Amino acid sequence: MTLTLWFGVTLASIGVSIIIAILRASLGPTAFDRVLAVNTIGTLVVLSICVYGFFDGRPEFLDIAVLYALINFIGTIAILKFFRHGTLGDHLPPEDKHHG
Amino acid sequence: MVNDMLIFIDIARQIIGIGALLLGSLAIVIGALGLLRLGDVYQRMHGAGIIDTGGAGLVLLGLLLLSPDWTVAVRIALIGGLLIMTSPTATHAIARAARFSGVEPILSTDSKEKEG
Amino acid sequence: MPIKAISASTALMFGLWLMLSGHYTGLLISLGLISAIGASLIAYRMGVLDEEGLPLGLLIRLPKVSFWLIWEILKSNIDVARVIINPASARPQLVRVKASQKTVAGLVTYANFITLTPGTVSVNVDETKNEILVHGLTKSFCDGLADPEMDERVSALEGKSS
Repeated sequence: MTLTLWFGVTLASIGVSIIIAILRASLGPTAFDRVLAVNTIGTLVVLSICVYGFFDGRPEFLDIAVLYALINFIGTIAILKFFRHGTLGDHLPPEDKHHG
Repeated sequence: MVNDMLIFIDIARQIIGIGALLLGSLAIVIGALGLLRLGDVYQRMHGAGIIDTGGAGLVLLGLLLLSPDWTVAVRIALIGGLLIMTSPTATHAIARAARFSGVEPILSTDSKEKEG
Repeated sequence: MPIKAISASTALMFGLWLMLSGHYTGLLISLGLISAIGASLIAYRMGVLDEEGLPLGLLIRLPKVSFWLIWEILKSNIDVARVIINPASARPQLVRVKASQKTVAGLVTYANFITLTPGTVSVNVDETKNEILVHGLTKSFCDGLADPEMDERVSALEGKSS
C-alpha cells in the first residue's frame, strides 16, 4: 500500500518538530516558553497518535488521541494556575477568583 | 459508467488527502522552526499557532479524506473540534499568565501602545 | 426546571455517544440514553447549563462563520510562515481592540477567534470595558484587526435576543 509511505513522511516531520520543541523546552528562557513548548508537544503527540493509527492500520488509536487532547489542555491550564497561585484552586485569594 | 465515476472520485479523494497531509507536515515543521527562531515568548506563540491551526487542521483533513470508514471519520472530526476549541484557550492562558507575572513583550519601535 | 436546556444537552451528548459507540443493540442504546440524561441532570445541578455554559444560539449559528474563518486562518498562516522564514521582519505590537459583543460567551468567542488566526494572540480580555489586548506579530496583522469584519461576524453569531 503506497499510502503507508505518506503516513511515514508525515510521522517523520512530526517527529522532527517534536525534537525542535523539546529543544525550545530545554532552552527556556522563561517558564512560559517551556509551558508553550510542552503544550505544542502535546498537540503534536495527538497528531502523531492519529497518523500512527493509520500507518499501522489500527484506527482504534484515535480514542486514545481524543483523551490525550483533553488531558493536554487540562494539564496546561493546571500548570499555569499552579504558577500563578501556588495552588490548584482550593484556596484562592478572594480578589483573584474571577481571574481563574 | 457510474463505476468509473466512483473510481475517479476515490482517486481524487486520495490525492487531495495526501496533498493535505504533506502541506500539513510542512506547516508543522515551519511552526516548530518558528518556536525555535522567533524572539520572545509572545512571538513564539504565533509559531505554535501555526502548528495548532494550519498544521493540525491540514493533517486531520488529510486523515479525514483517507479514513476507511465513518466511525474513524467521526473520531477525526471530534479531535479536530477539540483542538480548535482548546488550543486558542491554552495559548491565551499562557499569554495572560506571562503578562501577569511580568514578562514584558519586546515591542517594535513603531508600536503605538507603550504600556498595556 | 429548564426543560429546554436539559433536553438540548441530552440530545447533544446522546448524539455524540451514538457516533462514537459503534454498538447498536437495544440494551446498549438504552444505557447510553440513560447516562446522557444522568449527565445532563448532574450538569443542571452544578448550574452550568445556562447561556454561558451551553450557548445554543451561538452553537447553531457557528457553521455559518466557519468557512470564512478557515479562509482567514489559511491566509494568515502563509503570512506568519513568511515572517518565520525571515525572523528579522517581525515587528511585534500590542494593540487594544474594541469588542461589540453583549454576552460573555460572545466576547470569549471573539477572543478565541483572534487567537485562532495565527499572527494575533489575545493577551488580556477586559469584560468591563469590552476591550481585548492583542499581541500582533507585525503591523499588518494589527491593521487587519482594526477592520471590524470579524467583530461584526461574531456579534452576528450572538443573535438578536439576550
